[in-house]
Order: sequence, then C-alpha cells, then structure tokens
Amino acid sequence: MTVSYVQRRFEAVFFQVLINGLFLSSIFSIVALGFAIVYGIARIMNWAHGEFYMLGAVGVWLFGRQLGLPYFAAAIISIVVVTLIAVGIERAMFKPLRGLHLPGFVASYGLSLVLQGLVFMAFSGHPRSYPKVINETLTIGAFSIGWQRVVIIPLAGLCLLSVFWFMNRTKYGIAIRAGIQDSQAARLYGLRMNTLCSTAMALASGMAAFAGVMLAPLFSIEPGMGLFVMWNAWIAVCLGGRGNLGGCLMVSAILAFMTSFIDTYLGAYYSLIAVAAFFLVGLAIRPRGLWKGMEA
Amino acid sequence: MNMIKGRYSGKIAIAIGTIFLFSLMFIVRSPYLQHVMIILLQTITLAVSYRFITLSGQWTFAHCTMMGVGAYTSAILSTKLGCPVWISWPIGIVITCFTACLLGLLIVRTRHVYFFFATWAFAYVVEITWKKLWFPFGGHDGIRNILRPGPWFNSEAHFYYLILGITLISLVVLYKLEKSRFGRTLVCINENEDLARSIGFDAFRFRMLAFIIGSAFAGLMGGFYAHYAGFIGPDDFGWMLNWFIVIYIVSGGSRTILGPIIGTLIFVPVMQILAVYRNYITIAMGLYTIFIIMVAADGIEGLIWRLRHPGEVGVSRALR
Repeated sequence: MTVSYVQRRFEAVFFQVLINGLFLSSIFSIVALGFAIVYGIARIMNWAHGEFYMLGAVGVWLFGRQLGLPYFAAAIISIVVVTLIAVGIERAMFKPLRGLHLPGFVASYGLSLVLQGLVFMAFSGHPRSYPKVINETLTIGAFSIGWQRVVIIPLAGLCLLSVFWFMNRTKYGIAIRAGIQDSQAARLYGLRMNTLCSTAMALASGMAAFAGVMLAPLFSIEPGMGLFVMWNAWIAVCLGGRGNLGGCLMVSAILAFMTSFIDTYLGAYYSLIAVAAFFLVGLAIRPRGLWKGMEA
Repeated sequence: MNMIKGRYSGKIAIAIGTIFLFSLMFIVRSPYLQHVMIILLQTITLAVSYRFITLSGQWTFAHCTMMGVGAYTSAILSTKLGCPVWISWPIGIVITCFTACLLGLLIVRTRHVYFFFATWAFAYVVEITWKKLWFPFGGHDGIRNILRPGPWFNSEAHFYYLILGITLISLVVLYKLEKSRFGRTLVCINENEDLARSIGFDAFRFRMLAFIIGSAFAGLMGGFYAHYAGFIGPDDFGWMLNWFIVIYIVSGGSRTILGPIIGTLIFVPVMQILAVYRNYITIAMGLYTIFIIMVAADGIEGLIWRLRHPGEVGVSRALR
C-alpha cells in the first residue's frame, strides 16, 4: 500500500518537474534566442527585450479583453504592433549605439523604464488576467495539468524550428549569421547592416511578443512581468557563449529545469538564488561562456 | 582674470569651494535641506569611488550592495552586540573588503558588461538574503534604533561636518591614488591588457585591488549611513540605488574625477524635486538616461570637453 502511495507521489512530482521544465525552457529559449540574435548582429545588450514580451501580453489583454476581439486575432495584431514599435525604436535609438556595449545597455535600460512607466500610466499597475483559451486538463496517472500549459511546448518548438530554418535556409537568415560572425567582412561583401539589424530586431521582438502572447492566459499581466524572463534569458546568453545560438538554448534548458526542480521542492526564492549562484560559478569557471562563442 | 587663469587657479577654486562648503551650515538652516546636503556628499563619495573601480575597466553593479554590507555589519555589531560605533564602523569596512575579495576571486576575470551582470547576480542574492533572514538582518523590517556615533551628534549640522570631512579626505585619497603609479597601471591595464601583462603587471591582482579599494569606500559610506539614518532596511541598498550610481557616472562622465561629481550634483536634486510626482518618476528617469546617452555617450563632462576642444575625438576611456 505504501509503495503504491510513494510511487504515485513520485509519478506526480516527476511529471510536474518534467512538464514545468519543458514549459519554462521553451519560454526562456524563445526570449533568449531573440536577445542573442540582436546582440550578435548589433552588439547591443537590449535589456528592453523583456519589455517586448510584456507588451505582447498587454496587447492580447488590450485587444482581446478590452476591445473584444477573439484570442487569435488579438494575438496576431499584438505581435505585429510590438514588432513595428521595436523596429521604430531600433531605427531611432539603437542605430547610433551599435557596438557601444555599456552605453547601449544603459540606454536600453532607460527604454525599459520608459515602456514600463507608459504601460503603468495607461493601464495602472494592477495585475490583469486573461481567460484560458483551452480549458481541458491532461491527466497522467496521479498527475494532472492544464492543456493550456502543455500546448505551449510544441508551439514553442515550432517557433524555434522555423527560426532555425530561417537562419539556415533563407537569404536574410544566412546574411544575419554572416553579420553575427564578422560584421566588417559582411559589409565588405555588400550586405546592408541597417537592413540586417532591423530584420534581426523585427524577428527578435516578434519572438518575444509571441512568448508574451502565449503566456497571457497563464500568468498575471503587469508592467514588471518582463524581468523574470529577461533575467533568465540574459544568463542563457551570457553563459551560452555570446552569439552561440545552440549554447544559448542549452543553458536556457538547464536553467528552466533547475528552476522547475527547486520550485517544486523548496520554493521560488531558492530557485532565484540557485540560478544566480549557477551564473556566478559558471562565469568563475568559464568567464567567456560554457560553450565557445564569439569574442566580446 | 589672468590670475584666475594662472597656474594656481585650480587650487584657489578648491580653497574657496572648501571654505564655502564649511560655512554652508550657517546659511542653510532648514533640516530638510541639510539632510539633502548630507545625502549629496555621501553620494558623491560613492560615485567617485565607483569611478575608481571603473578605471580598470570593470563596471560593478554591486556598489550599493557593498555599502549595505558595511551598513549591516556596523549596525548589527553596535545594536545587537553593544560594540562602540567607532569600532563597529571600521569592522564594517573590513568585512566589506573581505566580501569584495571573495566576490572578486570568483568573477574578476570576466570583463565589461559580463562583470556588470555577475555583480548584479551577487547583488540579487544578497538582497534576497537580507529580506529572507530575520536573524540577524531583520528581514523586510530591517534594523531600527541604530546608535549615533556619539552623544554630541544631535543635529544634522554635526553629521554634515562629519561627512564633509570624510568626503574631502576620500576625494583627495582617490585622486592621489589615480595619479599614482598604481592608478596609471590600472588605466594601462584597461587600455591594453596584453601590453600590460607583457611588461609584467599582474592584471588580475590590480583589478582585484581596485575593486577592493572602491568597495572599502562604499563600506565606509554604509557605516555612515547606518549611524546617520538610525534605521536600515534591504530597500535602502536595493537594485534601484545600484542603478542610480551607474546613471550618475554615465550621465556625468568618467573621464576625470569631476564627472561623477557633476552627475550627482545634477541628478540627486532633480530626483528630490521629482519625488513629488511619484507616478512619473520611472519615465522621467528613463527619458533622462536615454537623452544623456543619445546626446553624449561620454556624459556631460565629455560634452563640455568636446565643446571646448572642437574637432578632436574624445570618447571616454571606460565607455568603449
């Protein structure tokens, strides 16, 4: 009797850690991949990347809940609007700051404050919620979870696959990879850096907004929601070797499973500490990232 | 006019400024303004010591956290163990140096923005620890009723003279350190590390020393803040204040010791005025940061420099 209880308990916890880990790693990797692409091509640490994620979720809430559009229409409009905003910002603000690490970072932090402040002013800081689109639950043995959460995993996988297809098979994607590898040589071959940077920014902000749109029915929507995801995405880029997209995905998966495991057993505060400690120790062992990346 | 432009002009200006600062308490009578003056002087020391760390190319994000380490150590020693303030304060500085040393051993090998983020992670961990541990840090409530440095410290004016003395001495020490062989080696390591190593300078050791010295001044200010305010909590050394220091340096400039001072003198009063409009303060701060960076990536000081030397290239050393 006790054996079966222990087994059931183990089953429940195991699946919870597994599904939550997959869920978190898909979100982290979508945000981190966009961040890494923009950093690679424009050499700007765009801290406001997390704000695009926040704007995506706020957009779904605004168009779907306030204006009464169906979820999918609201999602598409929100992604398009966020992408346009991001490209405008890239043209106006990031262009003169390309390659300047610290000024670019500090300016993008200022931008993130401005975006958060604007959302706060327009919709106030109350956490909002969006009704679930899929209400069924998935049950495996003693464990059950909402399909809403599970569906995100294949959707994110599809998004990542299409981004990798774009980066490896299309003209623009290959040009962006060339720009990440060596921007001067790419320019010598006649690639337009301005176009490439804008394309990369559109791709990255679209991915971040996509993550925000997918998460809108699950998380509470508030101006400060970008920080948690951005923090993990940053660590993934920093430890994965900057510009190394595969390493970035690996580290996001490690962070996600660590967070999920420690959240389940100890609590959310300890997972924050564990992630920060992992980051510090990782940097102490390999200051240039766990995998080989480009030169900073 | 010629005499003012002569070789003694700088010294005369400093002497007049010092006399002015010492006589300020006879002019400024309102306790609130005196409080603002004290915070201003304390922040100037923090910003200038931060700039000293950046000489070696390391931009830390844990400067206020280091200040908090000093403040908490001194506060705990004096309130819970009954240690006299003039002993607990130096112990706080020593503990801060020790913390900086441990952290530096882990992450001093990383560069630029990566160092920045590693110290950010450290600041994050420390802040959570302060908030979660009720003993001995007091959790969210912090530590109350911290002793004043002595029975004769009973008004803002006394603290003003104390912090003025400390600030002037710190500025002189940091200035001399920067002009000394040690400071010039730091600049050399920042500009070309391979060259510095080929001459035989141990870049790691110099970076560590710069980090520890800068953090020691932060610990000094932390002890002062704890015994001046009489109350400390985790939010007094949170990440927003860490950000403020970075913004002082970036907006003021880091070419010379004047840059952080200019940045602080502009930003602290502006923030005190804007504190009335609570809802707009983040937007104002963000717009200010973006504006400064877009107009002058090397700060107000760099802007003045470029206006006075038209045609010369002058990007600040630490901002490349």
